Amino acid sequence: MKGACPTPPKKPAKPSDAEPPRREELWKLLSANLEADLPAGRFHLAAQRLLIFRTEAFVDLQKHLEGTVGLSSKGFLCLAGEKSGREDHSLFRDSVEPPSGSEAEAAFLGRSIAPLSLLGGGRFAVAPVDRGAQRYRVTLENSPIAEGTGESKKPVCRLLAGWIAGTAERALGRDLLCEETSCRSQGKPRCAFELRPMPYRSTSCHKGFYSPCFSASGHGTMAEHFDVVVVGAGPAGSAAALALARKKFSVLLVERGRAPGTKNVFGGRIYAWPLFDLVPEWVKDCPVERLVTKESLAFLTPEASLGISFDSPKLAEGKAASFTALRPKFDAWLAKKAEEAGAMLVTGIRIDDLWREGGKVKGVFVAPDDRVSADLVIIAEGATSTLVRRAGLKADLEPREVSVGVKETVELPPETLQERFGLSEKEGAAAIYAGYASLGLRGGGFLYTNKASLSLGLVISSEDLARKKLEVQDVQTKFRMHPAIQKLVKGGKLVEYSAHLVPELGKGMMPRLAGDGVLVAGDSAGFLINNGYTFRGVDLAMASGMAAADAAEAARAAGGMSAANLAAYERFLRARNVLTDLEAFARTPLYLKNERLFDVYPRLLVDLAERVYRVDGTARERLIDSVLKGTNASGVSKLSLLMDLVRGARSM
Amino acid sequence: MEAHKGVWVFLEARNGALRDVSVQLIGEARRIADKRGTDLTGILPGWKVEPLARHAIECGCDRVILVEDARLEFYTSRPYTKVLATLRWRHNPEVILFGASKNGRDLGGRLHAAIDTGLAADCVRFDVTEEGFLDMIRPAFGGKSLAHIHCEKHRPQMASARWNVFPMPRRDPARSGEVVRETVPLEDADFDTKIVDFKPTESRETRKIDDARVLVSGGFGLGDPKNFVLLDELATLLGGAVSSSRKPVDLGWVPKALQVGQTGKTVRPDLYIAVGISGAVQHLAGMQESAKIVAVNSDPKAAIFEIADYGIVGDLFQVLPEMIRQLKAFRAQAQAAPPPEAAPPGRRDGA
Amino acid sequence: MTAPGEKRGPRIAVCIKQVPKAQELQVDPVTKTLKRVGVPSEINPPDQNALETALALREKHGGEIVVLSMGPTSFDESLERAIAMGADRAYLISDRNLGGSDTVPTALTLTRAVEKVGDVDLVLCGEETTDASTGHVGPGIAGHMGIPQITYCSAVSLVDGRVRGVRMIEDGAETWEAPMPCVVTVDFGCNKPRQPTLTGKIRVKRGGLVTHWSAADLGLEPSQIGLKGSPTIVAKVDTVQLPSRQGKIFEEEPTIAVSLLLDALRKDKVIP
Repeated sequence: MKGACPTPPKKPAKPSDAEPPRREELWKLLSANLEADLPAGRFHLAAQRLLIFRTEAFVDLQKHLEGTVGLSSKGFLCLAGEKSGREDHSLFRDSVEPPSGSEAEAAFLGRSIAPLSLLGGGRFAVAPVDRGAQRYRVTLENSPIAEGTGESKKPVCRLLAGWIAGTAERALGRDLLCEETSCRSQGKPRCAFELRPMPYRSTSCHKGFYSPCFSASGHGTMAEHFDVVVVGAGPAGSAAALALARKKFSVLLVERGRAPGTKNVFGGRIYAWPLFDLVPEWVKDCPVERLVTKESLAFLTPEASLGISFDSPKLAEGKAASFTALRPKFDAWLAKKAEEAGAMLVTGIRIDDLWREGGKVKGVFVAPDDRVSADLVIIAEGATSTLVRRAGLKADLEPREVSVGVKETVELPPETLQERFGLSEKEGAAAIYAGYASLGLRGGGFLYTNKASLSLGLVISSEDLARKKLEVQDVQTKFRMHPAIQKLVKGGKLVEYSAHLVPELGKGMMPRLAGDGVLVAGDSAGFLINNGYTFRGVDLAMASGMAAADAAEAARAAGGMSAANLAAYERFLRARNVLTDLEAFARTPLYLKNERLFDVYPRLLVDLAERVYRVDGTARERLIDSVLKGTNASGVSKLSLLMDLVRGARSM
Repeated sequence: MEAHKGVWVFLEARNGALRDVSVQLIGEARRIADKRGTDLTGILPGWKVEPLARHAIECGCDRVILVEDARLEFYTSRPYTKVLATLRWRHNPEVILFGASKNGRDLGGRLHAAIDTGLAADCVRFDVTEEGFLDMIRPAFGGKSLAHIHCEKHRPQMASARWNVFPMPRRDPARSGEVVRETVPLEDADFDTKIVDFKPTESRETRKIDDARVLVSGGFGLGDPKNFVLLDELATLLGGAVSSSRKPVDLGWVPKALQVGQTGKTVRPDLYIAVGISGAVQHLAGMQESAKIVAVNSDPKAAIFEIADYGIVGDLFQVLPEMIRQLKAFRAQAQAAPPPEAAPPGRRDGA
Repeated sequence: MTAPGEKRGPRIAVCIKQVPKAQELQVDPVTKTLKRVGVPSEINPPDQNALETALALREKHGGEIVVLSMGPTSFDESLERAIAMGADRAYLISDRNLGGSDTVPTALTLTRAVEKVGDVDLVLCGEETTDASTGHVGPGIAGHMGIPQITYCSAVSLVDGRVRGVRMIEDGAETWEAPMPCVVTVDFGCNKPRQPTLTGKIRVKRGGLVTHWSAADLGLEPSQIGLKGSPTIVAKVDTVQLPSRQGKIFEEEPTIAVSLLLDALRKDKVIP
């Protein structure tokens, strides 16, 4: 068609007038700009390091990326191309101001893009399609990516589309969107791209009003801007959104589940203290299942259990109260509070990336034509946050740092529950199990009573599971079948099973908490305490969300959401006792790495209890002898026993 | 309403022949006309279609109204609607039936709004009630139930009939009937819609799945489009064709023309082998009238087993190759030593 | 939105219906009837293809997409979804008098709504709904309005101010071309409907894009709509008596199971 043959320069509607590059041009470019440091194995072209490799290497990379992350790979590749295009442009910068008029602009664009041909990118041509709308059609002969890929149903030159957009953006000085409309890999003779203005660019829309901003292409999209976008409507996100809305920020709260709480597994227990500040009237309508009045800790061996329990109505009084809740209900309740305060809640949208420009977070990114700008983004999307990594705040979690949490919900009539646990109508029980609960692996079990069900689950080191080649479901089944547990769940109906990852980070393993235009809260920040006898997360999440709101308010007063201004976040986390508590348990995760705590000691304790309590007519021994015998039998040296005792006491 | 008399059938001409669905409908319409004690008229717009009128009469029409115009050679909505609407006001028929081909539904849908009467879609059975109303029976809820549609206060009573649910009537060359030419004033403005291109379906597959006596049908359980090769081989051995449930079509594994089910084709082969198809109601709607149904599925609870004559619970990747192997072995044996009666392994007599 | 004299893009009306999700529909094994209670809803799948067609046309030619639906206020869910997918605004014609409408009053009501929206160049509908499967409403609108129609299209484009649609019919693909305004019905599965976007959902939350009209707003008399305005009635519904099946399941290992099956089929004379 049009781009097939070079056309005379005077016919403006036809593709650009760029002559095919000649050999001399390549030579000129290379000789002027290429520096080869052969001993070091480095090439530099215009001071940028260059690597020459087979096209297939890139194509394979792209295929794997697509296979792994699916549709979102398109976004990655486009963005990578865009960045590269913007930066490569300096290589070939045309110092002339862009001309006006669409034909002249097209020719100018053609010249800006053409140099990629010199690097083997195929042959480009640019033509305007719609003068008024500043839309261009870029055709590409011999795309290396398309030819390297072979047949494909969808266009594959994503990186090049991004590259064109980035280059064009630099050349014309405005934001552009480039999409490949047909591709050589789809069997077309050449690839074609459509370059058009970024539809949402104007940020002139006033908050809270709808005014359709039709872009030049007639596409009815509009610029959306919020003071703060909070990603994740769990306890951290909703608390942040609620606190921010109260401080008169415009807030968008985005949740990927169909509704808040639907993506959650949780043992069901919440320490209430942050709610007294966040929702002072929480007692009125918070979906509390039961107030915890009975705490217990038990060590399990395959058959026996040894427990201590603390039973006091005081547990449910004042700020120290804790309660059991079903997360879908609780999260929905808290998100509703945020909405009532003025935050906008949008569900069913997964935020794949942050909108970043020059190291600053400028909003959230779903797709090239679906982003929302914000002065501040708060990441509160849970333990397996990808955004924290995208924001450059944290490396991947190593398996060692991750535990697997499972939870089953077993339905039982309220009367049966109350009878089995010795509770009144509103009271609840919380229990922690160590030892055989996790088959001796690092971790533990928990059990909480809800209104008409109980939550039973485990948190186990994923590394140990992998090493012992165990599936967490199997461990959970054994746990449920344990006599001590069986008698509590007997006759119940298993209504739900779910699993998720729990980061076992502790202070010192946390990501950076603040960046330019971004804060991290809740599980995403690793605000979780698991010291063997309490699992805490929701309270810390809510408190950290509130601290994030405090930090935003302070930064606003200080002039903006810069990294420097947001650095105060840590101070606010401390003021809300999030970091202080985490620091107090700082050594816990390391202490918990000691496997004896999960395997040997529970056995030892139960063994001891048997020696003490079993009266079978044989000669009794002194208690200390029993202890010593037990330790000897367990194969643990007295020294390490002593060391563990000291360490444990210090860390708790 | 007394003035309304006669049963009409819209006769769709396509490439010099009547569409199968129109012919099938003549047989059923004849039965209805006889029940109402009235005659059966075929409405045949087109160009140079008179021989088809004769065909319609031999199949059971008493009369064919022929409206010929060169511009009517190919179906377009507006002029055909005008022809039918004009004839309707001219003759006041009691019943008009359409074959539920794409064009038949296109025409019926436009006509019923234009002449303000009811239209029952995709009927599979007709009857006449005691009061003399046409009882138009169509599948509802994915074919699990049948709805009886009546049109009591408006005339004509109109319905479209599904493809391949009524048998082809026997052609009787001795039957007589009259061919009446009528004119309908058509202006150029009526032909504002042009047919600018036609690409016949390349694969014979489409035809084959309508006519095939054996269908081997694949579902999502095949896991990969390339596994349809297994079905091809089995279908070839059985002298049949390959079809599909909706999922493989949605996924782009096979063309839509192969889809059996509510949103696809209705088939009634002698043998339907469902492989890796779970049996959603929409699929069942399209194949449950097959003479014999065989299901192969790894899930013993799959709904398809509930309507199957025979089922094999197992991995289709073991079952299918084994079927192919045994069929080939049987064939080789049969060729080596013909059965004692020397009768060729008999296909069932034509239905 | 447009300067005088400037050519605006087409205004496209997309008619949608909210239907129970087909995959979720199950037959109660005891009563043998369809379980409809508590089944989640969706935009009728072919209508989703129609909406996607409209969105693609707008990307190419500009213009505006107006979504129309007729039904109870619970249909707002689908209209909001359509806006979140990219439609510009939506109208729901909701009226108790519309209850029991067959395809005649439905097409009439949508026709009036299209006329009230005004200046509509293109009306897009799905080829049929998955719950009623008539495919009559699209052609019905064209019939009421007296404008051209192109049904069963797998591809729709605008060429020099005319609509071009590729119709997938039994023996091939016909390309029809018609002047605008025109009704086009879109083949199920001919494209991949896009997902709602974040910005789209924000627009929904900002509100004001879904408007409700009553039958009176459209100038419809109670006698023209609902049961009264419907020529057809559903006289009764029978449960289908399927031919009884042997239901013989072979659970032996594959070699034996296959051999038993083939023997049975030979005995039934369906295979040689």
